[in-house]
Amino acid sequence: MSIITVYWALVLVFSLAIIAGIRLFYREADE
Amino acid sequence: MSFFNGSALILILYMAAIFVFSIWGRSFKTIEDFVLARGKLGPYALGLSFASSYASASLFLGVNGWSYSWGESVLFYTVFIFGFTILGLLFFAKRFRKIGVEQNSVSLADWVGNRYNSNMLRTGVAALTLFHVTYIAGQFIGVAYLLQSFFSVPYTWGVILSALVVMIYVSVGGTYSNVRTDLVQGVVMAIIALVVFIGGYLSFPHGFTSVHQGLLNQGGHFTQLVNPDSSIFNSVWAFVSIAWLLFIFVANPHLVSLVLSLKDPKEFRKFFGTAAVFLFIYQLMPFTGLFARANGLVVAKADMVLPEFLKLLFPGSFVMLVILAVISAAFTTVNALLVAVSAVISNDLYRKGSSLILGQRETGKRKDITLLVGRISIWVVGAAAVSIALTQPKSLTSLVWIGINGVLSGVAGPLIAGILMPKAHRAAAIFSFFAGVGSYLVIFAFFISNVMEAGALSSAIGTVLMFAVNWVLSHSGAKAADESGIFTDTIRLYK
Repeated sequence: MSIITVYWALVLVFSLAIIAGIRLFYREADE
Repeated sequence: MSFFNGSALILILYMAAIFVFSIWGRSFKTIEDFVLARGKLGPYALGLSFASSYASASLFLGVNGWSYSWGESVLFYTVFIFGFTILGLLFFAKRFRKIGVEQNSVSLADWVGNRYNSNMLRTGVAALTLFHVTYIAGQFIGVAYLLQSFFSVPYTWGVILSALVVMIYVSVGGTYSNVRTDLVQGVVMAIIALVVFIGGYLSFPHGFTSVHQGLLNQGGHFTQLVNPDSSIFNSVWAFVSIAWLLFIFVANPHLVSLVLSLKDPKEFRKFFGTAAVFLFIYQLMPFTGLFARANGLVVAKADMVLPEFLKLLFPGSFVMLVILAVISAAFTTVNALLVAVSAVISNDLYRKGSSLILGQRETGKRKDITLLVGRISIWVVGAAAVSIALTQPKSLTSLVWIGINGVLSGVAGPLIAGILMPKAHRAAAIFSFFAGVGSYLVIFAFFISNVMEAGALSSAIGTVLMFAVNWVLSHSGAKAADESGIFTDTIRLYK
């Protein structure tokens, strides 16, 4: 598996983590 | 090619258009308006500004130079730019803004100074921001390379010309101009980055498989994770360092201050979403260095691989557009940095200093002088950056990181603890600050030549010591910074 493949896998992982982070920690009700 | 031809005309028109747009409709009377423009800018504009201030000539030229020189290992750096920076932003933004608004802070130095009720920290962080002069110098260097290569402008004049243009419009417009020009330039940069990425990709018959095969064919270590040929990506520890540094990257004064400009916490989601999407697009740019290497292109200067490769793929007029996008990337970053540095000098050094000497009541005249100091400081710092930029570095991005790490090493501990812990001690923060900066200077000068490893280690030392000393102080019954009436004192100072 080349680093380029790992790169795209990481893009996916980070995207999910960011979406989860925003949903968890930045709910409108919190503000 | 003469400088005075059609393309030069486009360049001049573009710069003129940015200038007019940047000062259109601006209005501010105080230094807060100048550096924050709070409430005047929406979350999408600020998110785009965050991403475009982040993406500089270093990312567009320098990191392409890295990927061209060192191959696929650099992709970890670029994907971390997207991932860890945005995760770091999520970590810092909410509480940084909340505390910042309560304290009425206008800059990072102001935030740290107020948080710990310490003028020593305020001055220290403010002085540290001046490290960013290498960051600014890196942008002038990038623009000068382009002007030299495409318009035959002598390198020295390229540096001076790019500095002049950006300093004029920042000193006239402050953050308002900064964010407004970021809107136009940020969108231009994103379109160009996408076209360049897709164009480069399509130039290989089987996409990334061909790119990877092309890199293998070049021999060397272009497809290895740890590349012994690289001065940065030469150990596993380097990748850990980069992950940490990019996570705390948002602690850079010019980025974190954008969080303070948000009008309402409800706008955070839009702000993050916009920043994430654009940052992702920008970090695709360094693929070009890989494409060029896989293609077998040979260039004299690695930092110039982007335009050199594009000359092979695209018509001259499109390459011209790319140059404008890179110049935009450089300018949007210099803008933000200069405004941050100017905020530091005028607000944190001059204004707070004069309050201590002349008393706390601010007259209209003193406010005018503060604004003037802010504007003049842009020129002083710009001139310092020009003097550094006059010598061409081996790698633009490595030069830029020397300054960034100086800032992060001192700021990391006090900022992280200030956000996480309700009872953070002033003495611990001061200790952490000096330990972080001191260890960076010693480690980078004498022990570790890899700028990423040196920066990560020293900022980690600062952070660990912050928590350790704080723990000791808490258990010895010392009074924490926020128990000394800091919030009320600060608000009184401003009213």
